[in-house]
This record gives sequence, C-alpha cells and structure tokens, in this order.
Amino acid sequence: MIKVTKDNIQVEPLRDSVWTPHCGAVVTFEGVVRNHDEGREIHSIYYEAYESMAEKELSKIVKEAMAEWKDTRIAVVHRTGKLKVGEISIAVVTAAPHRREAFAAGRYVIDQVKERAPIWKKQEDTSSEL
Amino acid sequence: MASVQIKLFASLKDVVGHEEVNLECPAGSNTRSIFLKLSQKFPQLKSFESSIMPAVNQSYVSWNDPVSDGDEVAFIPPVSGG
Repeated sequence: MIKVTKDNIQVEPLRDSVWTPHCGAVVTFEGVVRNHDEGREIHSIYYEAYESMAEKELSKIVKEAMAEWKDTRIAVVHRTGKLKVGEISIAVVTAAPHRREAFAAGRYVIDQVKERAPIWKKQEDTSSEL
Repeated sequence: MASVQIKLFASLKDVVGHEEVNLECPAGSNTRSIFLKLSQKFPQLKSFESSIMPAVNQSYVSWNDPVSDGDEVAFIPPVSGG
C-alpha cells in the first residue's frame, strides 16, 4: 500500500498488507508529531502535499528499495492536513525474511521520503492559530 | 504556442496567491524559460530560483528539460515531509 491521505493512519492494516508467511521480520517506522522544535512548543503541524506527485515519488522509492533488498515488501502512507501532537504523520512498514533487510529497506524509504517527496509541513506553535 | 498548467505549493503558493496558474509559452520552451516567464508575472518568485526543483507531469526534471503543450509543470520548494 502506497498512499497520501487525509485520514488517520492505522498501522495494523499496513502490516497485514505486507506480511507473508515467508517473512520473519516486520519493521514499522512511525513519524509522530512531537511537542517541540528548536526550543519552541508545538501543538500541531499542517502537512501539505502535491498529492499525485508524492504518490508517484513514494512508488519510485519503494521500487528502489525492493530492487536493493530482494524479497522485501513495503507499505508507506503519509498523512496530510492538520495533525496534533502524538498523531502519526508517516508510517513505513517493511517485511522481509530477515531483520537486516527489513531494517535497511525501512531506513532507506524514510530517508528518501524526507529528501524527495513533495510534501511540506508548517508547524504551529502555541502563539499562532491556523 | 504551448499551454501549460503550473502548480504551486507551500511558500511559492503563498507568494503567488494561487495554487494553479495557466501560462501560454512559445513552442520549444523549457522549465527554466517557463519559470522566468512566471517570474515576470510574479517578481517575488525570482528569489526562490536557487532553492526549487522543477517537475513535469509529476516527475522531477532538470532546468533544461522541454515542456510541451498540455504538460503539468510544478516548481517544488524544499520539501519537509516525514
């Protein structure tokens, strides 16, 4: 599953979408809105995406990871809109026969998403309202 | 002449005040010439040139890549997803 969505991210269905009986490792990464940034208190983040391109870019990244780490299955979902502290902004779930590939592929995907996916965040501190 | 749809996001959208702009440009245009033409309409954009990446039809391209009639062009400011 590869998706950009306004809906809450549910991790369990992502796990179910990638796990098969030949996978002995499932690694889940959740990016979560935290309550601070560079000394400022944050209460929410607004995520904006170029949705059609972001989904294309996520697909490319996943294909690259699956080419590098064979037999790896990957799901990635990024959320848009206003997210409060504690809500999941991105989930990357990788399943593989062994932990080494599952960790490596997951790390690659989240690093590339942060570098390439056309998605932007606007943090809202306690002194501003959207 | 080619007609292209330009998509704007984040800081560029704030500067221009629109999410989309339609532009007529000469045949043989590339992403740079389209950005320069757009900057003539919205001069505040010029200062973003060094930090943005062009995209055509939802894929990153170079500043020399051609743009054809009907293409969707976007200028991508530094991303911050994740």
